[in-house]
Amino acid sequence: MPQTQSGPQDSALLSVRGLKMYFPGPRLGPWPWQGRAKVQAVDGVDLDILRGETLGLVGESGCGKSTLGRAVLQLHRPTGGSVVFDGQDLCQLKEKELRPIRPRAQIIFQDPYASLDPRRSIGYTIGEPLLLTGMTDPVARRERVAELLRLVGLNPAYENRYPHEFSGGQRQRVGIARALATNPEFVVADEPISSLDVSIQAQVINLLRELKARLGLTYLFISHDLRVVNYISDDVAVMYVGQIVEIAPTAELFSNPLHPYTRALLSAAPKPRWEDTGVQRIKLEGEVPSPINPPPGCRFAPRCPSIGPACDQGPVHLIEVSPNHKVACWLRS
Amino acid sequence: MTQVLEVRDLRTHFFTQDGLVAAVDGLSFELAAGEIIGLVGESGCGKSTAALSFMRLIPKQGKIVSGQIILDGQDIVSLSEAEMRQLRGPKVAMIFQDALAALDPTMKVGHQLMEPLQTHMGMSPRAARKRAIELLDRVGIPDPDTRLDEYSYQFSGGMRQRVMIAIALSCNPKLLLADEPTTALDVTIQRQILDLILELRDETGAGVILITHDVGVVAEACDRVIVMYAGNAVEMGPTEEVFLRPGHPYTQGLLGSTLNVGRDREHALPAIPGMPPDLIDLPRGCRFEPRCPARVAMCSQETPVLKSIGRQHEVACWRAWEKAPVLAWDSDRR
Repeated sequence: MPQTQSGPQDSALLSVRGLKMYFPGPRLGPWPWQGRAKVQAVDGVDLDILRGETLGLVGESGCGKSTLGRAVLQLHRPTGGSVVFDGQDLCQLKEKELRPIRPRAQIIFQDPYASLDPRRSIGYTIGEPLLLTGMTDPVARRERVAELLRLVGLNPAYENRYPHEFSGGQRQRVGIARALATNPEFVVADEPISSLDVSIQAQVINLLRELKARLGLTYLFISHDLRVVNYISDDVAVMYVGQIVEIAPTAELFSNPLHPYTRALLSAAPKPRWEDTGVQRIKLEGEVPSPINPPPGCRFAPRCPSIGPACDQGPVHLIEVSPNHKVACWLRS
Repeated sequence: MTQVLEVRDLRTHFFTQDGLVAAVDGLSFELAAGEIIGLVGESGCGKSTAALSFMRLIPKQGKIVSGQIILDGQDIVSLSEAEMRQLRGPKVAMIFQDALAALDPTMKVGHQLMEPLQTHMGMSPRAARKRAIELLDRVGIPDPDTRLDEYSYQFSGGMRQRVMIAIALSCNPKLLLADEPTTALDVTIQRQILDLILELRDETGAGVILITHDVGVVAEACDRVIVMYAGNAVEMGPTEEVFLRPGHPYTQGLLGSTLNVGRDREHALPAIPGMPPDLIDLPRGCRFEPRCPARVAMCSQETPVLKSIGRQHEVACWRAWEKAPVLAWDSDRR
């Protein structure tokens, strides 16, 4: 069984190896000594994100993609594995030692309604990270807030307004301004457009692309929508029940998907009825298994349309089948 | 083909503290048996209010102020609540976006499924139970016998949506309203639910109105499409016609800013600037005029109404009626 367990790549801004994030699940029985089940939200993930690149992370709800994004930023402390950011393993650092790192890695949240404090003006919300990182001069802070508001396409005069005065798209711009306040190098964008209307989605995608080019950002872009990931990412990782099943450069993944789950996801996208794309639709039966008791072998095996005899034998690992294209499937090993 | 639904100049208005909200302002269309119409638009454009009007389930502040809704030959606008109750189920039924909120958490799924069968179809409890099991089986719920005696929280999201579809179809409605039936679901489950709705349409011959903001779903599933903007239908026609030759700048923008796999990644998306107008404080003339790149002086003066520009293809836009086709947006659409 060849392993992909290579050392962190030198050119990578972020190298994740064997990352595990378990949460306590439901009790296993009525007695205290029986303990709790483990929810294996993220279970052994390896990723590299090169400086200035965008990695798209796709998967269905509950597959652990948001948990992975948060664990990378140490918003949940991982159960195991390492997250090497610019040469430092964040998992080994204490909370206090993480403080100087935090301004360099920020997050944009999915829901612009829940992630802004309704009792704080947006000027305060955007300025708070600055205050926490030592910009105590109120005049300088205000200037920086105005600069950020202009950067995301909002009028600086809005700084004293409250979140309820803004539309969803504008709020998301505030969330982006807050994430960018400390001049981060790395940004986790956790479904930044999925709660927005179609015409507003396009505006926010354009903004994220423009900011990346202007500020040289590196994104981990989490989404359940393949169309968005296809448009914005350099590389795409497909996640299923806590594990990465396939990772490849975007064009390669979309033109030559190897994992049966990736194929099913791609074929599930609606197609215009007047276009005969010739793509065979793969119907997936059943539903995503629970991360509390995942199937012992390949986690996709119970739903897999092309299952073989080896599939439920043991855990599968990512294998590089062609340059930079890795897939975790027994049929490929 | 027989007409299932005919809507004539429907106006549903809400009387709020802030003023009058014209959520649906002059909607007219027809739906044949077995046909699927897609109602697309962004949130707040009035598409859900239109569907609730067809069920006569408008919230208290709202009222159908004018127009006709002819459901299977009968105008339902002036019916009493008791008469309307006779029609919900056998004539018109609805699938909602959020199945968890639409199902009763305190009642067994089987009970909710048997209730319409007993009241509308006059079935005995035993016959209703048998039929309920058949229905659950039909919508693809494994082990329907036992699942019938469970509560909605014991079902997963996709399964709940199936239960709701089973309830909606239990009395063989002539008209099925599906309000964002796949939006809250995962990609692979969306696929299953959409396929199920299409299959059931073929089996029962019901007319379906599919309300969605996902133009991809419309392109695949619908025979005709109605594009709504700020309470008005701005474009209507056969799906292929509207998608390949969109006449209204809003439709063009909506289709142009929609992502699909294989789209050109080098250029920024042609996004529609600005936001939909406040329905209380509507602009004069065309409601899309403030965001429209093709606007002329005429647009802020008079409101355009739907007018034919081709085979069954109608557009409400002054510019689209001119001889030369207006392609308002950078159209690197694929």
